[in-house]
Amino acid sequence: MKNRIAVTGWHESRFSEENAAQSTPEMIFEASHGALRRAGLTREDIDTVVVGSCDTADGISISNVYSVGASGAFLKDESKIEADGSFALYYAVLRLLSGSFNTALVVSWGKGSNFSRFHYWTMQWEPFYTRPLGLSHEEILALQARAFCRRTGFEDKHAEEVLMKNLGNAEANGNAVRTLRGIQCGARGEMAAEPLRDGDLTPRTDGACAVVLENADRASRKKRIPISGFGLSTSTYFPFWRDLSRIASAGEASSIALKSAGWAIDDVDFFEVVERTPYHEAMLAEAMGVGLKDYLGGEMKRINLSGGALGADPEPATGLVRVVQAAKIIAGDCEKTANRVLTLGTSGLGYQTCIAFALGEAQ
Amino acid sequence: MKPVTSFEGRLSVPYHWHYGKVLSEFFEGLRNRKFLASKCPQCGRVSLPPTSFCGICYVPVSGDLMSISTVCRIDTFTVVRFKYPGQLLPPPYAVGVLKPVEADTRFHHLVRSENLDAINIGAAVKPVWREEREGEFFDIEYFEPVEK
Repeated sequence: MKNRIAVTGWHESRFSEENAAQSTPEMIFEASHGALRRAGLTREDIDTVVVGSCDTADGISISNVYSVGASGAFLKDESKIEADGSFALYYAVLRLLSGSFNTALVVSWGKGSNFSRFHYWTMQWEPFYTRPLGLSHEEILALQARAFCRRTGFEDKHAEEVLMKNLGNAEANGNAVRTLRGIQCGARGEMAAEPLRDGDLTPRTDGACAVVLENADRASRKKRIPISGFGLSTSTYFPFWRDLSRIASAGEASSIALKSAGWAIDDVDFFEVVERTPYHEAMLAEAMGVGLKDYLGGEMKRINLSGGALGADPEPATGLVRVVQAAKIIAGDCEKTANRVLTLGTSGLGYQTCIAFALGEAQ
Repeated sequence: MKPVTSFEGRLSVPYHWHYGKVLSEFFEGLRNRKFLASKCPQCGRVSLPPTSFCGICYVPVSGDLMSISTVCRIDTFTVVRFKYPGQLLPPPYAVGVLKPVEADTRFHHLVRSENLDAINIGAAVKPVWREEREGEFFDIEYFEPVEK
């Protein structure tokens, strides 16, 4: 996929644990309006709007019916995917590749203070036997973490290093809700579901973000971040049918994305991934082929310069936030710049589905 | 024994929704028996309930809200005669789409009249306020015809 589509604008609303000053549509407007401004476009320039949101989180059936005004979609082509925001980006890329559209606005949001995270996740369980037995997403993450530790030798101290690394990176991000300064070193809180402590779980976050896509012809005249590859892979619905010590869907998604970009894993400068616990960042590193060496006492330099989801997790927008962070790194908006960033978003219980984007010039 | 074929389920999901600044002011206004509206700086559209952005011009709408007349005209209406789960009132009752005379947008609310068959499109109605008001849409109990 040779540089046919580019990211030309992006914006995040101000993230916080509870944004009492803004309603959900107001957050959506702030992100969408800001992304258009950054791209130098107006609403009239946009051919299609794709949103990634969750009805259970919004508390509204088919909730994009409500976000139309805020997302700039009034009397335009508009669609929604009920998944992580980076899946909306995937839909938008395919819409542009179809040749039917030249520009797209992709928007995603989550107002964690408005809904119960417990319900958000457990309502993904089927009603017949998994839901009645009662199992939270945190417990699934814990079961995965335990199995991963047993297989690889990853330990509690390594998890703490990942957490401190990400919260340290979150300081420089400027839009994180949790940073190293905000917590006492070593204080990861009480045990939540062993081996996970309270501090290993991502912070509740209110936030929206948006990305503008243009086809290469339109985007050639301006600063642009090419989308050179993408990959999506989905695993079994029931987590216990999978090897819980591995995230196979992440490995598949990233290898498809790398292949379509013509990149090898070492061509990637940085990774932005949705790590719902420190353990899961290491699991993703292993699955994507980065290797575990850096996570077993080495230096962890390549993943989540932004601080990742442990710094801010406006689920289900967190995957699209990773794309925004990648664009910022390539555009030179961050302390470190790079040419190539791979992002990884996820939907479903225990990383059932993963989606990867290769941002930067294709090989 | 009855064969096992199905079971009864129920979903109950809690939420805590933020109004945002503009709707907070709007509902405070209702508590004080006022209609507070916003005006788009580009198209001039006066919105009630107010908004902090215009979804049509796609510009932010800032500045103070304006107090407008609480008199509305009936744009369209229906007399509800069927029952459904979660219904507010036992039928029959009338639901009207109402346009404040000093705004460009419409909202819906209950319309009461001694004779439901006498409700008409174009008729002027005014709010009947509750004595105890909480800052919510049902601070207006219903709308009734403005006596000529």
